[in-house]
Parts: sequence; structure tokens; C-alpha cells
Amino acid sequence: MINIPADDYVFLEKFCLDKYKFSHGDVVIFSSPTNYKERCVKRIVAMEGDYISNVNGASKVPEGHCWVEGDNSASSFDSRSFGPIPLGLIHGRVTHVIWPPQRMRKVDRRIREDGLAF
Amino acid sequence: MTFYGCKILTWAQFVGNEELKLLSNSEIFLVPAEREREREMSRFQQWALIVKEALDKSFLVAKFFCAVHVTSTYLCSTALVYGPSMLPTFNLSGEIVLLESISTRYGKVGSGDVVIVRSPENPRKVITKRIIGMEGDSITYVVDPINSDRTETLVVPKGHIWVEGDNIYSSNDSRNFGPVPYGLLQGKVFLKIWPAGAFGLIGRRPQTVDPALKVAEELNNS
Repeated sequence: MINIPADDYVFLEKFCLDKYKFSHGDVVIFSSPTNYKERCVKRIVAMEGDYISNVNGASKVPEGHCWVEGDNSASSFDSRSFGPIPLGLIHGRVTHVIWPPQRMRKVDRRIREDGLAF
Repeated sequence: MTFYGCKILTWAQFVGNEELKLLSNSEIFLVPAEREREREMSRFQQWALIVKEALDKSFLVAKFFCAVHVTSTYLCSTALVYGPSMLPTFNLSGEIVLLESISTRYGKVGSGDVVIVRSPENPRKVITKRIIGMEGDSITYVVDPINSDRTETLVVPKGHIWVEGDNIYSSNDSRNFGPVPYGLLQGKVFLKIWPAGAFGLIGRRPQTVDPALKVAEELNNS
């Protein structure tokens, strides 16, 4: 999750769903693969074809999937638990936080410094 | 008022009876130049009437498209199903089916339903398959029916479904890409509408059961 202690309301962009074109660092909202009624918000860390370093070596993200992780790695239920998610589960890309007013800001694409290329 | 009565009569003879209907009582005393301006005004009013009618018609068309869009996205829509993976239920060249998204949204689908799912290998493609097992079910499937009889068994994980095509000899389904998250379901197919000869409801069982599948099926049903 992106540092959200209380409920934030965000603005979701759906034009990216036309061609399912996402980039590294996009914050996306998707249906949880363990419970389709829940929606999760995480950041895309790796796209299809990238390698993710695991405890037992590196694994490749399959085609049509992406690897999502929360910004707060310590307490985040993300791809490190349920694996890469199909891009078809994504409902949209988060562009802005629109409520509460003191937290209004643009949500940017952010790439982690440690990188993921193997 | 007799003098004024005479004036009205002469004016009526001059302009003709039709003109008299358009003009109100006070306008009968207007001079010709002002009457010309009045005729221009009524032309503008006529044009305004045409524009209003055009806007009304276009709002009607817009409302129709909105209704079609809402129905198609949230209730019921159509799809073209083609390919060999669902023979003999759907034929090779293509059939148009009706699908409804209400069952999938409320979790009312089960084993045996033909569903349309977004492909986990390519999110821009949708595929039609039959649900073999829901979450928690133990699935036995023939891995490669063309080359061997080897079967494997697994339990469908939480939040996922196992889909297979009716024609397992030529179907790229969960045996290749694994269990599919339930969130990828787009709708349940319930009716075939084209070609007219193939019209009919889609049931929960495939129309013929391949003998190679019988073993797997019996294990699934027990």
C-alpha cells in the first residue's frame, strides 16, 4: 500500500485498459486473485519477461502477467505471496489521490533503486 | 368604434385571410416595414423549432446508445465463438452466443458452465471454455491426450477455477496455463443465437463425452 493509514479516495484511469499497456512503477488497482470481490492497490514492479529474484533463484514473469508489490514491503500481501497476476485482473491505473484534501496529490510512477534486472 | 371596425375590414382585404391569422389584433395597425420585420422574426422562430426537434432526436439516439452500452457491459451481451477447442458444442467456423454477466458477478457459476474468460496469456483476448472445477475441487485431467493417457490430479486453489475446452485434443486451457483467477471471468454463455440452425440453450454437460475423458470424469464426480 502507498502509505495509506486512513481511507484515501483515488482517481482511477481506465484508458490504459484499451491495450493493457502498463509500465514499471505504475500503481494499479486489481481484483485479488484469492478473492475476486476484493480490490487491491499495488505498484507494478516487473512486467512480463522480467526476472524476479526469489529465495530459490530467479523466476521469469510469464507473458500476460505482471509482478506487483506494495510500497510498504514489511506488511504487504502482494505477489510475493500469491505470485504474478494476469494483466486481465487490473481495473485501472491510479493517477491522483483526491480525498482527504490534505492528502491530495499526483501519484507518480516510481522505480525502485535496487532494480530488478537479474 | 365603427370607424376602427371599417379600418380592420379594409386591412383584412389587403393582406388576405391567411396573413390575418398570423398577426395579432394589435399588429393590424403596423406599417408595412414593421410587418416585414415581424415576418423575419417568425422565420427565426421556425428555425429554432427545427433546431429543437433535431436536438430532441439526437438526445433520443444518445439515450438509446447509453441503454445498449449499460446492458452490454453489465447485463447481457453477445460474442463470436470460433475455433476447434469447444467441438462439438461450438463448431469450428464460428457461432454467435449470448452471455450474461450477472451470474459471474454474484459467484453463481459452477462446474459444467460454459464461460468466457479473459485469457491469462494475453489480456486483450477472450476465450470460451467450460468450467471443470471451482476452488477447493480436486481435478483429475489428462495431460496430453494425443500422446499418452497420463493423468494428473490437483486441488484448485482459493479464488481460482479450472477450465477446459470440450475438445481436449485441441484446446489451450488450464492444462497449459494453470488455474484461472475468478476475477478474469467475463460472463456465462447460455444461448446460441447464430447460425439459426444451431439455435439452442447451452447446458452444463458437453454433448458427447469422449471415452478418454470418461475415466477422468468418473474420478471427478466421485
